[in-house]
Amino acid sequence: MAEKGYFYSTKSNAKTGLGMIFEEHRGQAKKIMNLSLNNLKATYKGALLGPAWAIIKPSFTLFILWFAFSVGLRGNGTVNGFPRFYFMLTGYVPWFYISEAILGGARSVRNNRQYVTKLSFPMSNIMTFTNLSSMYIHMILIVIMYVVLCFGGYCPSIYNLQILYYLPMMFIFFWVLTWTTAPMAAFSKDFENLVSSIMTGLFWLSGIVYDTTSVKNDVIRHVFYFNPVNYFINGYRRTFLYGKPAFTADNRTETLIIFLELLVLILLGSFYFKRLRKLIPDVL
Amino acid sequence: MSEEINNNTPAEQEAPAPAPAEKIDASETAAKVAQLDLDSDEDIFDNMQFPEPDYNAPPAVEFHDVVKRYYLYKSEKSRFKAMFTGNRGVPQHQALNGLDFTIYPGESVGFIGRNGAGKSTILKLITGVSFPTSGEITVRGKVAALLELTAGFTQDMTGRENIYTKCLLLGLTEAEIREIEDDIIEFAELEEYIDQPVRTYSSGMRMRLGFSININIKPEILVIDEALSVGDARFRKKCRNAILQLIHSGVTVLFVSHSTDALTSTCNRAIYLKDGKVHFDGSVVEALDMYNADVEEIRKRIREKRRAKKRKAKERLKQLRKQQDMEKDKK
Repeated sequence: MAEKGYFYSTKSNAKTGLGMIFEEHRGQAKKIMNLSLNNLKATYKGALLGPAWAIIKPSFTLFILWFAFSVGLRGNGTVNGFPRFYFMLTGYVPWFYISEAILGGARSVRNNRQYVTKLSFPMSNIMTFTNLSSMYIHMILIVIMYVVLCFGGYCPSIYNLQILYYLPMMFIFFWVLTWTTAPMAAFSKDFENLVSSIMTGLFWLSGIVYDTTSVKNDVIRHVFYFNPVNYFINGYRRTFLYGKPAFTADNRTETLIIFLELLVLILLGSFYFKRLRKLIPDVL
Repeated sequence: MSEEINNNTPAEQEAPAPAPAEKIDASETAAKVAQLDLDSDEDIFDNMQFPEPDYNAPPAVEFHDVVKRYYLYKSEKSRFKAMFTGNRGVPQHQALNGLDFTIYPGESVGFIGRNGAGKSTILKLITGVSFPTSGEITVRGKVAALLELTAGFTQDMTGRENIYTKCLLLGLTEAEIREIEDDIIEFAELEEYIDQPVRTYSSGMRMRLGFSININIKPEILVIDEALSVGDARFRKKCRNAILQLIHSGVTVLFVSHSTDALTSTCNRAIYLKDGKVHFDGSVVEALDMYNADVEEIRKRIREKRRAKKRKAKERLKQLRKQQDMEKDKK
């Protein structure tokens, strides 16, 4: 057995939270993959259809959407020249992932508390495998969405390849967010409740049912730039619906803001992860 | 190791399964011959010789000036506040107060101490669950902790799936897991239950599975808490044998216990902890003598206190009676 793999020391501790997270991830890729699949299985174990439920639930919501906007409220108009159903479809699919990543990510450490308080398990890996689990489901939903869009005549298009930028970017952004939220939610239950109460508000402040870029009020439209959810949802629409490049002159500010926000989140996450990592096993 | 276990199984089956009380009596007399390995503690210990520790090798466990303080939050509010103020003004409990010791591969060390001396904290630090406030800890080798046996189990998954997950969590590769899977199942004696969800298991079955996993991952350092009890008397003996076999094969053992018997039979070195510090580090007998003397002293003190209290109470009663009598006389 390789001795190197079973060496543990408090001496080699990285100086920053970022360093700690990277150290905890080194050489763990396979384990994290296995655990993310396991997590998926465990969530829906005991149900006949198993992990299929993770896809059935959002698909059902999308079906209701279709029914409401294409059958029921026929003639409800278009958004940006696109039927409302397709507009909302491209907003809902990333939203399912984002809400799951924010909420599930924040809860991940507390939900897997035994890994932290009973076993010597790298805490940051918990956030990673939880987010990965939601990512698998999201990928399947993207495929479903793509098929629907193709039937609608909006795909395929060369801009669809932009998903290769948006998907990893979205994963990284909300993964980095959990560096702050997951330790905090584990440390204090109040923080977890805070996160979950923000979610409903966030839904309506994000351009899922309406287009944030065509809001009349100048100030409000610019404030929307600071909501990272908008960046990704509009990015998905650029990719799948509008057929617009990811980087254009009219979203330069938004792009700049999202990268700045990512930087801030990395610094914040690094700070809080370092501060709370060693306390959590004692208080959780 | 697995072969030796296989040899044991037929011997167990010969023994009458019911009436465990009877079996213990029998083990002291006639059954000794029939069940060489399993049912008698004494002859194993008598034949047992501790392997020579390797003092030249890099130490298995090193503690250097380790201090551990726990924060004691008064309420959820103070906890929430502490996230932003960095624990300023939060009362602390000092569990370890500058601890220094070195354990070499092959040693089996017992930790003795009264409640709150810091034994469990040390075990948590060695297993890497908890972190020291200051100081340095180095652990070389795969650690199996017989502390929280059922930790890491997912209730809705089967025993077999849980073996897989738990081993992954402990840092084994898939190939390694496949290699030891059968040994684990056989040792745990779960038979057809292994493919049932763990939530349907009894607590004993869960413990057996947990123990079996920890003992079969071929650890280099074994951490044992005495408060552990798994299954019936027969299975406990099986566990004990497995532990002894591991010790015999040169595994480093860290053992927490209050029992003189268990300590003298399992350890060749003892560390007596007092107030979060190493009070004595050396032979088991000396450490136990010191510990017992201290315990005796404390007991004496408590007894004296109790006596003093009783005396006071009696005197007070006497006074009250006198007062009453005087009042009666006045009337």
